[in-house]
Amino acid sequence: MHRSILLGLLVALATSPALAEADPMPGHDPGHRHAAEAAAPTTSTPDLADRTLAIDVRGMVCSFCAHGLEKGLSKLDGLDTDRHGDGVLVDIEAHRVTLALATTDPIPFADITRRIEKAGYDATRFHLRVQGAVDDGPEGPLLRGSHPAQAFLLDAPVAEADAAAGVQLQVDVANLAGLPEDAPIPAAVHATR
Amino acid sequence: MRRVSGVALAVLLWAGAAWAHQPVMDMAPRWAGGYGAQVRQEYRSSDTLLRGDDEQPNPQGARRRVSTTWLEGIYTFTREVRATIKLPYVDQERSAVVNGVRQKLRGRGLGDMVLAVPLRKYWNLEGATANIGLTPQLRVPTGSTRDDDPVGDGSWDFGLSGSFSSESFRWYTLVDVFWWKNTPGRRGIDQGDLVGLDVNLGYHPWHDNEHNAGVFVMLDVEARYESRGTNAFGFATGGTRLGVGPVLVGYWRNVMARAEAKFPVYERVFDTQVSRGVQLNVGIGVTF
Repeated sequence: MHRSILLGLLVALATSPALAEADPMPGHDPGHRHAAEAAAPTTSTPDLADRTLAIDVRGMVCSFCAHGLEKGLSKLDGLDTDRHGDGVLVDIEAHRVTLALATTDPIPFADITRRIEKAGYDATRFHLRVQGAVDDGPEGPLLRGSHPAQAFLLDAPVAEADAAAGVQLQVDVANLAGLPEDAPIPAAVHATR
Repeated sequence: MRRVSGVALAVLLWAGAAWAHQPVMDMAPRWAGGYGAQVRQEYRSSDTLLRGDDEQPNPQGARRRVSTTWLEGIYTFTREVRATIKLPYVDQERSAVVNGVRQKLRGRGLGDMVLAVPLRKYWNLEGATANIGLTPQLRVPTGSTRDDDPVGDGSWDFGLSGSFSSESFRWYTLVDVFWWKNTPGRRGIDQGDLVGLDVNLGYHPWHDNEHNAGVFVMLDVEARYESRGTNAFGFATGGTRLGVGPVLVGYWRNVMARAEAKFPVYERVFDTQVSRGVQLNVGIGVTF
């Protein structure tokens, strides 16, 4: 009788509800595809507050396990620690980490990605607002924010009048692996203000 | 007379389910350079006498009580490689008939330390995470064999477990298959080898993002087969057991607490032994 119980349990676990609940894993893209293609959203796009960076983190489903992630990210420079206690909000249901930024310095995407990997997870997409002027680059429209050293290569054109006057865009950034530090960051335009 | 003595001196292994699990609660820390510790209290007591799988009269009042306090630590080199240590303090007592006289035999002190190196391979999925694990383990004979009811067996033992675990926001599953090779110890103690299966199925009903706090509930099922062995008094040990029980886990930031009760669903022992009875287990762990 007990063998039957065990067999039943094994069958039940083979169809583990945790995995059944998971979305299909998106394909890995090592290259620099066009931003719109690379950053096709698989999760909802957040409505961001000012000076906020939201990061989709694959595999982050357990708050207790993600404590190391919060610990690692809270050591970043330039966080607004008046928000979320330490400047970091972990949302395990949305699989998303939100960083409250205190400065307009360039966003250290590579450092953030490394800290998330060290914590045992994978950063798949960044969501942020960028305000600045748009000009034409050799590969497409370039949005330069408050820091001239960091430019975003947009996947969609911006109206000429808006580009000259300056715009505020909400963009999604993904697939930064192998991107040179000074290269424009591929970004999918999500919303224009 | 032999039966009565055998009944009164019935022995079950004092360590058990704890060998399968790893601190802290099998889950954390998964970040490189993370470390943690947990304290766990296990308690079981029974005066149910079994011969095979039949309950027997117990006119001699055979009884077994085991209380074990586990101090456990873990260090995560990378999420794939960890090292753990588990140190028990055992306080146990059994009723026995020695030379026709009913006695209480007691053992108390540091038990046998368990060292392990959990190795894991992780997969991060959209909305879930999963891992498989392989854990070599070593039981070091740090426990004394001098007490009337010895808390250690004086032997080096070797274990290996293989696990699969997956977790989403709502669900948690763990399947752990474990095996222990028990070598002969002192005072004639020769515990049989042990194979077992531990299954946890958990549901996560509540979580508070702002405070990183929440609870989840689990069902814990453990099946084990221990081959025939002998205790310090020369009587048989080992058998087949299936235990099932609820688990309640609560966490707040980097602190996690767990309480569980495991009820014997099926037991079949060699010769005559006292049942394991209901096992209670409470613990609290912290990670850094």
